[in-house]
Amino acid sequence: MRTVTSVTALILSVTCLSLPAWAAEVIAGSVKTAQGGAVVRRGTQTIPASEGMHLLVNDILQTSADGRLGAILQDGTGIGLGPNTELKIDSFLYEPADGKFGLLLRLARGVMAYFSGRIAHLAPGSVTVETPVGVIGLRGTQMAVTIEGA
Amino acid sequence: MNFIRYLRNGTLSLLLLSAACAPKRVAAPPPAPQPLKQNVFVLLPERDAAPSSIVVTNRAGTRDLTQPYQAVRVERADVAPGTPFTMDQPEVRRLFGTAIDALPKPEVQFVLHFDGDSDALNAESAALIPAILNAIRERHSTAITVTGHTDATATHDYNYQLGLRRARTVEATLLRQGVSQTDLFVSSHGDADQLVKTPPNTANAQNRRVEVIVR
Repeated sequence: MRTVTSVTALILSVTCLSLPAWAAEVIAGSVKTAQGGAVVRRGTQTIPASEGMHLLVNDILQTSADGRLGAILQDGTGIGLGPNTELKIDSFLYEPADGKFGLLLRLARGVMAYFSGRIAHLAPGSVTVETPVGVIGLRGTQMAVTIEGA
Repeated sequence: MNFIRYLRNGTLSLLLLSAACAPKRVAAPPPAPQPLKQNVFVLLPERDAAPSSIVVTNRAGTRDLTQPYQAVRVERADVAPGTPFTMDQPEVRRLFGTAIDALPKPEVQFVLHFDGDSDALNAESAALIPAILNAIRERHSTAITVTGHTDATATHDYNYQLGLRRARTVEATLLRQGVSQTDLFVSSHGDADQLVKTPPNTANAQNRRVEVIVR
């Protein structure tokens, strides 16, 4: 019974931590360039993307028809977005002191270019880009992808 | 259902498709044929020509791209990725140029060495500060990581604190030069992340350092 209680407590605490209002803000990266229509959706907020702005886990980067956005993550991963693009920083884990690494990006639509950072170099196989038509696993890589739809 | 591929495979496949679909959703109209979506993945050359690869996987199959400019099209999540092909560079520019041009500059790293059991900048390390400030300005950087390290001449706890003091020295120097506190990410790895692997209780000048990464 005690086990059940502690497991429940654990689930509750994990659930609370996953809510944006409770989560410690993990800075995942920063915007390097923003042109035209480029915004960051954070929870219910929509913030115009601006040079130098810090990015958090769960942020959604979005460009319109004339939009471009460049960002660098805290492990050195580079991201370039063309027009009409939507990319979510779904998870970002970079704790070299504890040997914890992981990166999951979700490209809903549009065009993205990418170069890998330290996560991909230190923990090959821990970087994933999800798209509506398939998942990309990356190893020390520069690549690009365009997604019109599934 | 794998509609497009079945169409391409001809009559037998079409028959199988209709047989498989018949028992379900009799009233539903057949889905309208849709134009093919442009979903393309391409591997780009590495800056340092290091070997690299991507693996594109969905429910129906998987493809490895291992050569620069190798590309693959994927029509839908339930249709296996197509046969990889080499994309010519004008086509890469046409499809991906906007995103490639938006890529940021790569990060740049500086290593500042320290004297034994010291958290003070020595002359050699102090001489690197202008280059660090230049990199910050050039990149308009708002993400500067400052990580302290030590050699293995003391306890882990002591080394953690020494590494932190070294990192704080560099942080204070950058703050005095106008770098914003919110843009500095300071930590210590103590003796856990040695550049040169040594046994315990070994002095090593290469390991006594602060790494500054400007993004």
